Amino acid sequence: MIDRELWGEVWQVLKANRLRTLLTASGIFWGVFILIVMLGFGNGIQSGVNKSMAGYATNALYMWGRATTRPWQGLPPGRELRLTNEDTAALQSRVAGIDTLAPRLRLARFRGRSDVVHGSKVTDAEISGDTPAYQNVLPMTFRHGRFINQLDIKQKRKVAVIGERIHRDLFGDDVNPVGQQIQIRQISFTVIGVFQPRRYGSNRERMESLVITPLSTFQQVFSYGEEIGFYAMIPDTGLRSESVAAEMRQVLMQRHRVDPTDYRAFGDWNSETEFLRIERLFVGIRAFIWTVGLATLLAGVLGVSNIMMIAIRERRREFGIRKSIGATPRSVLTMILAETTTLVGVSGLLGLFAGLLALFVVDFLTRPITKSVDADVLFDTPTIDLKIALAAIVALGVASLLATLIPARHAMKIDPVEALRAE
Amino acid sequence: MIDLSGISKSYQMGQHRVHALREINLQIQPGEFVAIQGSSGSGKSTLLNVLGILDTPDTGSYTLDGHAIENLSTADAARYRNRFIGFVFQSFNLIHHKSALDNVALPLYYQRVARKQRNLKALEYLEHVGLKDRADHKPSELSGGQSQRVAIARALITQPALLLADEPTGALDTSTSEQIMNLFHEVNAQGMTVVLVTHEPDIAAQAHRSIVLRDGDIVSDRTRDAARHNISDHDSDPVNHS
Ligand SMILES: Nc1ncnc2c1ncn2[C@@H]1O[C@H](COP(=O)(O)OP(=O)(O)OP(=O)(O)O)[C@@H](O)[C@H]1O
Ligand SMILES: [Mg+2]
Repeated sequence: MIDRELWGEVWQVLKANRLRTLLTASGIFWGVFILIVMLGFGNGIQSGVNKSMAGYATNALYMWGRATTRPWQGLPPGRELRLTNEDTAALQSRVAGIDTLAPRLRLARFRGRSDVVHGSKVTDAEISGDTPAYQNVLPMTFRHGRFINQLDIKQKRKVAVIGERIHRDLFGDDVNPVGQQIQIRQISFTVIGVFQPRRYGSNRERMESLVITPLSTFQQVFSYGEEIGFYAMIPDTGLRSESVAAEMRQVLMQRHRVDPTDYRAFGDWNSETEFLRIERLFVGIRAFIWTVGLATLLAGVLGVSNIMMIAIRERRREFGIRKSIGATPRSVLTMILAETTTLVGVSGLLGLFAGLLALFVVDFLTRPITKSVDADVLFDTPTIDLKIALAAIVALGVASLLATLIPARHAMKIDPVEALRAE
Repeated sequence: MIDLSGISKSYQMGQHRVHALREINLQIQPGEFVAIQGSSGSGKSTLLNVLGILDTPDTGSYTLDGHAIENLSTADAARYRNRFIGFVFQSFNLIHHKSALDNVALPLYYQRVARKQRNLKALEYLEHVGLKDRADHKPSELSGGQSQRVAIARALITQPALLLADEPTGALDTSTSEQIMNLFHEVNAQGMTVVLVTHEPDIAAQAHRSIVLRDGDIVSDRTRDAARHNISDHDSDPVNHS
């Protein structure tokens, strides 16, 4: 539709009305710029949060025994409920939808620490008994050695996987500690690995201070018998951890003879709810961004329509002249629409590029922070789906054309006799 | 060339109708130089606008160069104006944001002539009206006489068969008017039909034929006998509208 001649004509008109052109263009420019920058930041925050949660199984559920609060089958309330290896076996065989069931024990109360000794060096650590399944709950990599395996469990080997700070404090960073001994409550364990969580996040100090031993060994040497402290569970993909947890609870209640309505007998906590809350927050943020962005664009479109309206009124005489020397109504319409398209297209694309440039600069400046290993900022490289951005500009162009159509049709119908009557 | 019969045009002004043109019958031959006179409001501009297909009469028929001009689509009317007719107005009606050159070239834009060619041709026509050195000037940088010469160059660039001028010298002093009139005589001598509205008797006196309007009626239509202008000087197909 836009041939070279028309383009030249349009360019001349836009150039002749520099201020008006700039004002209209800047409205569109800012609209697109703001939309792009906001979308980029939204994505940056989202991927930052996603990244900071990547170290955790986001749908993990934890369950532990508490005490009954109601009498049941002749048993009094207030009975302590202790989970055992048999519960683990029962859960694994009777509850469908469990992807990972990691029974765990800890030496001290919640997050409490015990001394760990190597030669003359002592440090404190959070000591746990775990199974290989725990690796699914806390994804990790190994600087040295390996994680606990089934053989360790079966043979109740006195082995331990240690966190980075324990490694550093007891052995020094550049010593491979695999095969060395550490003592916990005077019991010797052989170090089989130094682990690093896939991501430290804000729990770095805690994560670095873990010492993980085989669950079976732990139960034996620290006299826990068959006892399990709590379960960490990950449901099969597609299942809600809460619904799987309900089944687990049912099995456990049956086994421990608990009133099925005694919901407080087993405690649980799941990160999925938190996760879903964050997801919902993002839906909200996204909606906000689009609302503000589109409102800005709409303002730009109205600006275009308004200015074209004024421009056409101002240029009545010009259109009269053009018609008197042979402009068809259609050519007048085409010219005005071409002016709008050019204006919106060029300023929209400039806004897009400026927005992308701004995001690039932000990324460049924040890279040292966001890309460091233990970064715990909830922000990552701001990205933009170019297809969405271009679609926004095309939509903007179409909206502007529609908005210009009314004044343009008016210009089309200008009566040259009227317009040219000497004032 | 031009054949008007029974052309009427009236406007509703509140309660009563104003008859701008009443049952006008008029023939103009190719190569004529016609002056239209009359007092203000007598319908001169209306008649010229009808001739230029800018305005449509209420009744009557109009034949231009053998083509019936009734019920033309707006697009066709535009095409006729572009090909057959050149307009010159009292107030010049140049596009203020375009240079003299671009103003002159504009009719060719609507003929889809490429930019280079139309600028070349526009320069030629500007040279013809003696304004080659003003090609890059905006209308605001030109005097009235210069502006009118630019407007004439614009009217002539399509080599129309018919040149219509509505008080082209109305805003100009006597000597400038003389230059403008010389241009009209020149193109008329080359065979172009010229119809000129004026209320200045000495301008009208230069025409070959003089029509006087009063209240929308032709009250006088006199042809001067070959004294100043002799169409038989250019008898072999004087109309050149390629
Ligand atoms: N658009 C219009 N609406 C109403 N009346 C009009 C309109 N155009 C012209 N007229 C009337 O028609 C009549 C003829 O107008 P026209 O412009 O043809 O006169 P004119 O002879 O050119 O006058 P002048 O010498 O002042 O230019 C006038 O009475 C004028 O008031
Ligand atoms: Mg008039």
